[in-house]
Parts: sequence; structure tokens; C-alpha cells
Amino acid sequence: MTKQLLLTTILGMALATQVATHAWADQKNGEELADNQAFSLTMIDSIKSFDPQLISSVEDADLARSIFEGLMDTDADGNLVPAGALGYTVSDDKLVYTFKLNPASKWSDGTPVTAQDYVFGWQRLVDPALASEYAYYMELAQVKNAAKVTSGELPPDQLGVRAVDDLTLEVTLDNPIPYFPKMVVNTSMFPAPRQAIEKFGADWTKIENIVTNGPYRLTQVVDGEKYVVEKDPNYWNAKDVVMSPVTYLVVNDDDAGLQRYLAGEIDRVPIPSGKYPDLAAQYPAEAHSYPSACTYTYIINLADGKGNEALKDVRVRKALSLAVDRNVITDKLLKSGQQPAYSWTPPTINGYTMPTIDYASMTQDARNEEAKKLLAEAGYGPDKPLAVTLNYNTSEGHKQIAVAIQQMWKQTLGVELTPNNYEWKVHTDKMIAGDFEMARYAWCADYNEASTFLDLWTSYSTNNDGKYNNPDYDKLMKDAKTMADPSANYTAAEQLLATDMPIIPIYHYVSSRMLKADIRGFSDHDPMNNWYAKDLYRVKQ
Amino acid sequence: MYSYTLKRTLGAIPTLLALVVISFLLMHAAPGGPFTFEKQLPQQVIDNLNAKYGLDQPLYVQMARYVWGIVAHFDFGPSFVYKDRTVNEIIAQGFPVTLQYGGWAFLFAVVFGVGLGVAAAVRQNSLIDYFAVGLSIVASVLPNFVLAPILVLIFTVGLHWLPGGGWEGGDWKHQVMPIIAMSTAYMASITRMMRSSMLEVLNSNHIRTARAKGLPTWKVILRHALKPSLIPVLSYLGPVFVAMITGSVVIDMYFSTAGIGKFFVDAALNRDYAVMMGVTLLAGGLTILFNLIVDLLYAWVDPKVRY
Amino acid sequence: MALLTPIDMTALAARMANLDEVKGRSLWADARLRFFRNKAAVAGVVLLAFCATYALFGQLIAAHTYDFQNYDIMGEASKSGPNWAEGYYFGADQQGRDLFARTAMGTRISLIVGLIATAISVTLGTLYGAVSGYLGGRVDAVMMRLVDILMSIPYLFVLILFLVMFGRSLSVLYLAIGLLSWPGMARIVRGQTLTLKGREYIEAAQATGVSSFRIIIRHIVPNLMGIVVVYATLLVPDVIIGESFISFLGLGVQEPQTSLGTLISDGAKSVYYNTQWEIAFPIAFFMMVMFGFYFVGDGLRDALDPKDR
Repeated sequence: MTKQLLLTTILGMALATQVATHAWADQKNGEELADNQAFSLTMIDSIKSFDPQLISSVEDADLARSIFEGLMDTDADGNLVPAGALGYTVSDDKLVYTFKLNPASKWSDGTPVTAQDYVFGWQRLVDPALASEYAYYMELAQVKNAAKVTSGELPPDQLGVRAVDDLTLEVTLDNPIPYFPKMVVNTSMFPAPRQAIEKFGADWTKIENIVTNGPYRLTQVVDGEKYVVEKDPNYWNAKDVVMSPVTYLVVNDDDAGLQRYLAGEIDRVPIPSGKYPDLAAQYPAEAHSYPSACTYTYIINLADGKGNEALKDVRVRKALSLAVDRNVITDKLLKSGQQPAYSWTPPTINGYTMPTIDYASMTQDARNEEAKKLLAEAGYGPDKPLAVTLNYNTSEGHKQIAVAIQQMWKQTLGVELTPNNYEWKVHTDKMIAGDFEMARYAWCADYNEASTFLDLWTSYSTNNDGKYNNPDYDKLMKDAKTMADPSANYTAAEQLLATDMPIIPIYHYVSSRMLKADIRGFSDHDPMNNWYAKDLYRVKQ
Repeated sequence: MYSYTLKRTLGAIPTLLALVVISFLLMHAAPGGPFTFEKQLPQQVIDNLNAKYGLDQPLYVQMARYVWGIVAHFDFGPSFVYKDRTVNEIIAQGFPVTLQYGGWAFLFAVVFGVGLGVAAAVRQNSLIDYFAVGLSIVASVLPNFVLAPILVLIFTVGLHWLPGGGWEGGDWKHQVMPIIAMSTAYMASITRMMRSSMLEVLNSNHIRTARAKGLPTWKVILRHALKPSLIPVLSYLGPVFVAMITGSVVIDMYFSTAGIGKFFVDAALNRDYAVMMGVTLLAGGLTILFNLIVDLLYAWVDPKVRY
Repeated sequence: MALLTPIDMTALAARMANLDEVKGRSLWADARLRFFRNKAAVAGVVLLAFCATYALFGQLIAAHTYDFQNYDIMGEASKSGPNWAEGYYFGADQQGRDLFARTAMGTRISLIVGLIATAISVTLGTLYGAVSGYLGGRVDAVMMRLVDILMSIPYLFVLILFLVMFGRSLSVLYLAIGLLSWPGMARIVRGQTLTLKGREYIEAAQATGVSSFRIIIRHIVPNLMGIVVVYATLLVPDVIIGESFISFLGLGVQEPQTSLGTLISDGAKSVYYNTQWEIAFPIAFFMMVMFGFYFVGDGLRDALDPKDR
């Protein structure tokens, strides 16, 4: 008995001293900080690469943003804030951007981050020898000569980026796209540590070799299981970094992840499809759902000699689109606050005004009536039933939506839909080859601007698998590239999509998570879902 | 015996070569490649990637290079998806993990399966028999992807005894559920094979004779009945061990155990050719090894066996 | 006398011992009698008959079709439990579809898949294994290396190619599963054949010049039946579950059609969310089928086993 008492006293004292050492930094935004600032969250798969220029997945980028830092970060509203750069200026013709770098920014080996490191990183991205999947991003950003360097016509040093001095980076564009600064937030535009890359080659991202410039250092790597990062005292703004260590756990299965969250093993997990309302009712302070800049759609094959001839009739396409009761899909199947989509670009994208799409405001009954009328006009009915096929890649969610839409079309229009599921690569291969009638597709924003969506359906886009071809649409999108405010063109382009209906938009995504109630710092409204571990903290409860 | 083993070991080389050729052809014949994405890459970028990984070469050149890389440097190539890692690194990281929990699962399945099977056969139509048979049938309808959530619900969410996932360097608490989930179905199968095979042996003349001589039952079983009745179970166990390694994908996905199992499916779905070849050769090597061990054990179990 | 196998000898001994009982009955009639005296075997037949009846006619009794989605209960766990008044005897799945009708369809498809694929694998595997084990030597070496290869090739690609080449159909599915599962059977049969080969009666048959083919068919295969039946009853559940994975790749059963394997894998997580009926009923029928097969298999083996007679 006494022994036990003694033990508890000692433990208590040990805890007390620990609390005392932390007492100096225990407030943030008016809330008292907790003693425990460790944080854990899940990722769906192992890290594919730590190399900023080789990263192509969202989750790799999430982790990379904690150990690396680019020119600009975004805040909770998706606005740019200084990071590796203090700010930028732009020339009058909007073709030359000059970034002033933060002189306090250092690599984890103590050397300063210079403009040359950015130049090196950007040149690497387009260097055919590195063969980055994101090489095309530099071209999207309209940086001068990007395409020619990628194709090997010009050497990497001809890319339109140069170091004026150690702290001044100058970028030259081919076209004056107004959203260029937003694009530097992407990890592929981060600087690269030349000293480490030249010394270790492809092995530079191994934990014992890696050199980083972000708020955290990589301290543990167990591929397939977890990654741990800890606060880097060398970071220029280390005093504001609170949360550490941050553990990224690989959890492939959302349901398994949720159980581990409920058992208290993890602080943040995704919510499995359809489970949001129950969790929100049971854990109102922990279940979150907010819009995400992605759209789910069925694309229709309009290519000559391919697909289903019936679908080349715009009335048929419109009828099919009208008869999809999107509210059933969002409210009964997905149930996490997804928005029904009647247009392609998500309404949450910055600076984009949604056009007034006529069928968006109709009741489903009115839509169904209109759909029946259109289909009859096109010559289909009980005597001549319409049969179409839909390709989707195997997944529980796609299956549920396909089967629901099959029933809607059958019940409302008498259309026979055959859903064909294919393994992912087969599905993609068939889509690229134009071997489909209708196919499931989804797109997520590369950057927070409507062109990332609308450029897709131009006749010259590589991703336009349905081969929609409308010269007016192309012109709107081409002109938008050089306009100071292209939003009117975006609205008009979106209206054209609603008229021609080359795609059937179904819903706009949300990002839904369980997050422990004492965690602060995640934005609940940035549609890009960019988040920075350095902004997070845990409050005392 | 030694010459047989040597012959078989040498025979593994053409077998593995044939496996390389067949798998290469299968992989490349399947639609889609490692860089076929929904967010399509521009052709120029795909060309650069193909050049970097040698995929622009004719298939026979790729095959020859692949085999040469293994023979000369024991290099199984880079992963096309996990860009920071080579196939050697992926296998070196995942295989020991799977081997560890798979090995335990195998051991449990064999010990309990054989034990239950023998007990059920010796006491045919007794409570033990009904229990063994009932358990094995119930276990056979509960695949690991059903068992895993039930285990988590009981031990993690309900009782808070065991962590719901992770590996932590092989800490035993993290191994319990993967081992149970993996071994149950195999244990059930072994029980039933053992029971049936033991029953047959027990009904054979020489065992009847031994029993008639008045030897104690357990002596008869250990000395005379166990060995011959093991033959079908042995044949079954060779592929089972390999299946545990290659089929551990459900365990790895459900319990985040970081094993190699996930790659047998993921590498194929991602068309990550080099990783796919690596794990295929791993599976091939293990299959050859375990079938050889089984063949050698036949001779130990039944000295009259000729190949 | 040396020509007689132990089968014949033991059978003869048994007949002589029970002369009255056996008199006038053919071997088959004898087996039938023994089978139907086995209570467990009869129970197995009844179970299987029950499941088959449900599989065949369940959809006719069902209040809803297997693909009808009821939007009122879709995605509402609290409304989709078993409900006799509304005709949802087994409850509804997450998409508001009647699980009674779907389980009936699933049981039918899975029974067919299980039986056909197992039959393919048993036939191929038994013949291949018996030939390989009996002939031995070089032939055995080559045949078994082929099995090694077949056991290790990335079967996912084989299935994807099947789909691409032959399109999707149930017959391709049976074939694919059958072809994938016979190597295991071949290994087991061959192992057993290796020991049978050393038995006196086989050696006697060889000495008298009986052809290899006849020995395999007449003397080896019948003595393998015990282990073949057991392994076949083990294969059936594997095949039924494996089918759901193959359908996942796009080969075989397609939504809104379903199978027991698919129902079970879709329902696996329902234990977390208190919608256990999604898995309980499919698993229950799966279990009944497996108990049925086991008892029937066991009864058949006892009835046909030459040694017991």
C-alpha cells in the first residue's frame, strides 16, 4: 500500500516537472495548449516518393508539405501566404514573376535555401532523365520552354527560371496566366537540395541521406506501416510549430481505420462511405465534412465510329442526365454532405461563378417528365427500347452508384443499362482507347482555379476521352488563358457543357474525417484540402 | 536422396526461367501499363518514363536484361510505383514480416489441425469428433476478411486488449489477431484432412493387427498410424505455406502489418512490372522449395515411396 | 489369388461374414443402403435439398425482386432490418434491396459455381496427379515442375486476360476457377499415389503385365477416393469465396446479380455498424451448404470405401 502510494507520488512529480518545462508556450489563439502534442493520422498507402519532384499522389504531397517548403503556402481560406519566399512582384505584361526568398530559410544540414535550389528543382522536374510524372505541371504553369525541355528539344537550363542572386528567383512565362502564383503551392515546384542529390543520387530520399527545408524532419520510416516526422529546431519559424511528433499510419481499410480511431489509437481518420450521419449524431464534435474540389461524372463517348450511336443524339444524353436522381445518390448512398452536380466545375473553386443551369432548379418529377419527352422525341420508347453500357472500375462506391442509376433509368425511362466493371487499369485502358459507351470518371483540381476542370473538355486535351469537340468551347478556353479576369468565359463554357451534355456530372466530393475534438488548425473550407502540420495544435480540455 | 535433392535444385533453374518468360508475357499482354492513369500523362512524359525504365525496348531485350540483372547483380530492378524503393528493398522489408506472422500461423494451423484431426479420428463419433468437425466447418465459412473485423470488434473495440493494427517491429500484441485470422481456415482444412486420412489408416489391416496385439492406443497411433496418415496433409501443406505468404494481402490491408502480401495484388493492379516479377519469383522459389521438402518428407514418412 | 486386390479380398471377407445381409444385392444397392442408414448423411441430403429449394424457388416467394431498390429504406440502417410486414424477411442491403431474394440468387449461383469448378478441378487434378505419381521418374519430374509453375504464375493476369479474350460470362468463370484450383489437387493425389504404388497389389498387377492405364483407373484412382472427396469438400468453400474476388476483377457474376461470396464480402463490415443481417443470412446459408456437403461427402466415402465393405 505505502509502496504504491510512493510510486504514484513519484509519477506525479515527474509529470509535474514535465508540465513545468512546457509552461512557456501553452497558449495559441487564446486557447490553452495540451501537454501532449503528438498527433497521428492515416494514409491509404505507403509513401511512393519523398522526392518533391517525383511526387504524384495527394498523400505523398501531404507528408512532403511537412518536411519541405515551397515559395508560398496557403492559409485556411486557400489564400497564399509567404513561406520560402517573402513575396513576389509581377511585371506589367504579367509574364515575369520575381520571388524574394526568405533569408532565414535553411536546409536541415544547415546550408541556406537559395534561389539556385529552386532553379535546380524546377529544372529537375522537366528533365527527361528524371522522367517525373508531374513534368507536365511545369507546362500547365506556362513556364517558358517547359514543353520543349520535357521533350528533350532544349536542355533543362533553357527553362524560363533563373536565380538573379541567392535570394531572388525570376520566372518567365509563355502566357500571362493570372493564377500562376497559386500553382507554386504544388510540391513539384519545391526547391531541391542539390548537395544531397548530387552526392547520393536516387538514394537521396533514404532517411539517412535526406535533406529537407520544412518545419519537420523525417525521423522514422517503416514502409507499409508508418512514417514519423518531428519538429526541426532549424526551421526559420520553429517557434510557431507546436505539434510534434506527427505519425502518418498506413491504413488501407477505412473501416479498420475507424475502429482504431474509436479505440483511441489514431487522432484523424477518413469516414467510410455512408457512415457520416450516424457518426455525426454520435460524435458531433469529431465528425467533419467539407467540400473537396473534385467532381464525379459519367463521360459519354462521342468519337466518330465509336461508342453508342444513340448517345450521339443530344436529346438522349439530356434525357439520361435528367433522369439521374442525384439527391438519392448524395443523400441515401454517400451521405457525407456531397453536393449533387449539375455542372462540371465545383462551386467551391475560387473566382468561379456557376452559370444558371436550368435543370438544376427543377424538381426530380419535372426532370423525369422532361427526360421522357426528350427520349420519345429522339425515337426511343417501349417499342424501341434504348440499351446502353457503362464501364466502371471495381470499387464498392462505383458499384453502388452504377446500380442505383441503372434502376433509375430502368424505372423512369425504360432504358436498359448494363454496368460493366473492370479492374482499374483495364478500365483506364479502355477509356483511353475509346472502347466504351459511357464510362465513370472523376477529376480533382490540380490548382484552385476553374481552368483545371474546364480545360479537360477542349478538343486538344489529352484527357478528353469522350472526344467532345465544340470549337466555341475551345475558343472560350483558349481566350481565357490571356484574360485578366476569365471568369465570364468559364461560366459560358460551363453553360455550353450543359447544352451539349457530353458528360453527366453526378456529384461534387467532400472530404469527411473523424478528428479528435481537441485538435485545431485544419481548415474546414479550403476546397484543395491542403493542410500543413505546422498549423496544427492540440488544446487542453 | 542427396542426388535427388541436387537434381531437383538444378531443375529449379529451368522452372524459374520458364516462370519468368510466362509471367513476362502475361503481364505485357494485359491491358494497361504502369503509367496508364485516369489523369492521363502527355505522350512525351510517358515516353520519358518508358525510356527511363527500359520499357521502350522489345520484350525479349527487357527479359534478357531482367534475367542478367538478377544473375549478375542480384538486382530485381526498381519499382515503377514506389519510386524511392527497389524491388530488393520492398522484398527485404515485407517478406520477413510476412514470414514471421505467416510462420506462426502455419505452426498453429499444423499443430492444432493435426492434433484435432487425430483426436477426432481416434474418438470417431464422440463429442471431440463432433466438436472438431463442427469447428472446422464453421471456420471454413468464415473467410479471413470476415474474421478480421469480428476479431477487431472483440479484442480492440470491446475489450481493449489488443491494438487494431500496425506491426511495431513484431511486438506480440500486434501479431495475435493476424495469426488467428490467417490460421483459422487452414487449421480447419488440416483437421478434416487429418481426420479422414487417419480414419483410413486406422481401418487398415496392419493397424487392426497392432491393436489386436493389445498395444495401447496412443502407442499404436504414434508408432504406426500417424506417419502414414500424414501423406495427404503433407501434400497440402507445401502449397499452403506459399499461399499464406502470397495470400496475406487481406491481413496486410486489414491490420496494416506492412507485409509482402499486399504487393502480390497491388503490383498486379498497378502493373508495377518489376515488383510483380520479384514477388512472382519469390512465390515460385518458395513453391519449388516447399514442394521439394514435401517430397523428401514422403520418403521419411513412408520409406517405400519411389519417385 | 495374387490377381485379387485387397479390395476384393476384404470385400469378399465381409460378404462371407455377413452372407445373409449381402445376398442378392448389387454393390451399388449395397452402397445406397449403407448411405441411407447413415443418419448424418441423410441429414446432409435434407440440408442440401432445403438450400437447393430455396436457391431455385426463393426468388419466386420473395416479396421483391433481387434488383429493386427501395429508396425509402436505402442507406437507412434503422429501417432496413428484417421486416416481415414489408416482405423484407432477411432485411435489406445498403442499397435498399431485398436480401431474401438476393441470398436466394446468391446461393443458386454459388452452388453452381462451387460444384462445376470443383468438378473440373477434381477431374483434372486426380487424373494428372495419379498419372504423374504412378509413372514417376522423368515424367513425374516434368509434370510436377509444370505444377510448380502453375502454382506461381501471377493468376491475376491470367484472369484479366481471360476477361479480355473471352468477355464476361459465367462459363468462363467456372473454367477460370476450375483451372486455377486443380494444381493443389494434383499435388495431393500424386503424393497419395506415390505411397499406393508401393503396395503389394499394385506390384502384383504390374508383374502380371496389366497396362499402366488400367492400373491407374482400376486400382489407383478408386483408392484415392477418400482423400479426393475430403479435398473436394474443402475446395468448395474456397471456390465460393474465391469467386467474389474474381468477380471483383470483372470476370463472372455482375451486379445487380450476386453470389454468396459477394454478399459475404460486401457484408463483412456490417458487424461494425449493427447491420449484421447483411452477413448473417448469407453466412447461414453458406454454412448449411457446407455442413450438407460435409455430411454427404462423409457418407459417400463410408458407403463407397472398398475397405469397409
